[in-house]
Amino acid sequence: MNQAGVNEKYKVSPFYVFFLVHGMQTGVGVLSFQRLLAKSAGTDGWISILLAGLIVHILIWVIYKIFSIVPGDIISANNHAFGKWIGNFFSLLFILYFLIIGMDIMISYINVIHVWMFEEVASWAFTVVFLILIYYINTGGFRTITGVAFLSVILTYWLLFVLFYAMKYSDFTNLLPLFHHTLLDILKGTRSTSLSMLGFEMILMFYPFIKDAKISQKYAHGGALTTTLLTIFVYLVSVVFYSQKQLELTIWPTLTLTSIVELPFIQRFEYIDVSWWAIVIIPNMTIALWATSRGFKRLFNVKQKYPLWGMSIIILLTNIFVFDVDSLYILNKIINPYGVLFIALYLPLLLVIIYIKKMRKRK
Amino acid sequence: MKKLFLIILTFPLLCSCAQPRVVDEVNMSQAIGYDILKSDNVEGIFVIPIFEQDKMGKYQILTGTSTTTSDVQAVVSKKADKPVLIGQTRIFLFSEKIVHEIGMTELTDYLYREPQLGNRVILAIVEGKVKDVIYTKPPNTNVNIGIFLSDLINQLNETGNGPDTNLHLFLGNSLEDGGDSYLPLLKLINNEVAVSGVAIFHENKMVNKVRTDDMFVFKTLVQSHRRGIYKFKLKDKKRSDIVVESIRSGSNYKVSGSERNPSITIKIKIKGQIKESMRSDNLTDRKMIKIIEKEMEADLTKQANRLIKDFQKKNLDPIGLKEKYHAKNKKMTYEYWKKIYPKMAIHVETTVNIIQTGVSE
Repeated sequence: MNQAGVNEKYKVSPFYVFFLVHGMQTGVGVLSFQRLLAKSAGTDGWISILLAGLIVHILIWVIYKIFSIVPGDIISANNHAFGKWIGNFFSLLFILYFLIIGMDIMISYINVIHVWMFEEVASWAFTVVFLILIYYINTGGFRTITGVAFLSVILTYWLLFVLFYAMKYSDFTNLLPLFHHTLLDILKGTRSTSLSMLGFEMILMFYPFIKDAKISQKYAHGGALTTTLLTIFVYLVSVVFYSQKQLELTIWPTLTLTSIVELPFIQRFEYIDVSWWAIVIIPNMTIALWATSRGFKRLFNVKQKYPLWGMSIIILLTNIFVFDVDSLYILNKIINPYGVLFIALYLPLLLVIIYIKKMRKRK
Repeated sequence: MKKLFLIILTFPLLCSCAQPRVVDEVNMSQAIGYDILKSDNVEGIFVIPIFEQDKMGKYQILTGTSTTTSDVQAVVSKKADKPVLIGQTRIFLFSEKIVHEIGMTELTDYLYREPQLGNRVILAIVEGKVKDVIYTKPPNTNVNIGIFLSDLINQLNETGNGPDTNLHLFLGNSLEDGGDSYLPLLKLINNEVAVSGVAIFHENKMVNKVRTDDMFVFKTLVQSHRRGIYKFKLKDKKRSDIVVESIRSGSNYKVSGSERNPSITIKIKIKGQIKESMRSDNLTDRKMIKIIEKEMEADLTKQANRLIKDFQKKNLDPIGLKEKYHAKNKKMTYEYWKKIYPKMAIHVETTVNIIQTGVSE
């Protein structure tokens, strides 16, 4: 239990949870979620996003509830609920999940670079650069990671102007008719938004690093709300910009949308967009890999840099020997539905078990 | 410090990983045209600027033949001193014949798939041979024929009667059920290239043309716009011409939801100024203006009705009435629409406001 305790000087103020949650949620998902969502829910996709946002809020509430009973991180909560062995098994699952999230984000982004900019550069070259950067940020500790997340959110919001620019080429009748999909379609759509909603669960690992952690709940909710609104906005603009069939054909609607922008000094704006997106992606990868290595540290009592080395080698080897499209196919399958279901079902269960334990003790 | 040094050391890893594409070392095509030959092969014509000091507008034209549009690029590269790249292409020209034989969806698949191409690329259809159009000398010798053509169409869309087009807008319409879309038409008239109307597409084929005289009405139906020009004849004895320049125009659609008698009311609104009046009346007189407004309304309504009737007869919907109807009627399917559209009652109501008459009486 004491292990979860963190020295006061490594903690960050609760306000930064907003940036950690919002920055972690917004990533490669925003580039491509529209296609699958449009296929299942079409013009009613915004309802799906709203639903997904609602689920995220409930889960954040659950997370904070768990930690209000068992202060610490997910590993101490697991141990508290299930004892050492079973608890550690679930903790390992979480660690694996964080690793997969980190890998998925990196490989998705490399795939984007391959398709849009440099088709001939090998994956390992990008991977090495990213991994060195991630390692460097990670050795700076959690405060540095928070700083990077903060900067990434601040530095990338100007990209939103692209969406306003695109409205000139939009047809607003595409928004109509409303409510002509069944509830099942909308729920299916909710499933396909998950990659752009995931990321909030990193709170499970960095909770002990927040000063006055209880106060930070409103910032976590604020971050998730901002993500939901941003996603809805991106989706609505995509729906009016593309026609239905065109949206179902476009793999990265957000990027293709950018290619309509033509400025006097730069004709092809999507190259800027793809490059700038690295700033969005870096904290995502960093936080995910930090969470994994932190988990290892807590479980096996090793220095945090050794699991980081290990993971870097695993990711590098995957990128050398497996084509990014192939590994993405497998990783996305694992995350959605299994990873999503794991998070969405396990956390409430954990809360219930912890709650029962607490009630028993009182008796 | 040591760490930072290490990181800087890794940056050279990224250098020379990618193939550099220096402007001087590639042939960047600025216009590409596609013709179909008798042997069913595609002939691609690439306009490539040559950059030389103090000389503007020099360009070369490379051609190649192959069975597909994307392969032509490789064939052309074989004949060039530098690789031919398409990232700077502003305009794609297709001959009427190739569209007829291959189909627009197949022709645009490559364009939409290629990340090097932006969404802003202009597509245009050529009446006759694309080769003849590309081999004409542009009147402005400072630019090459590719830039000239794309500027011509852009200029016409912004300040003239041409409806807005680019790859994105075209695909948005043409990928939907029915594939009703439109593109500008170009034609060689007396050795000069000019816009000769709008090509209308339906189900992957070019099926109709809107002539230049109807382009103002067509544009007003399709989008709101500024600075279009409309000429009509007054119904007085002299049949004198009046030219009106639009300042702000557009149309509004009202769909009645009833299933038995579906109907659409189109409200065209024009705010304009008189550019020229071929009669000696005093135009500062409000009464005279009212008469001109009324006559212009009647004339526009007539033209719009004629255009729409023609579309209905051929079951074409370039205006996008289907989406407007679908917005109000959730259950509409494309088959149902095909059945009701030719018989649908479509009313046109026009309001013309002449705001000013210029500086002379």
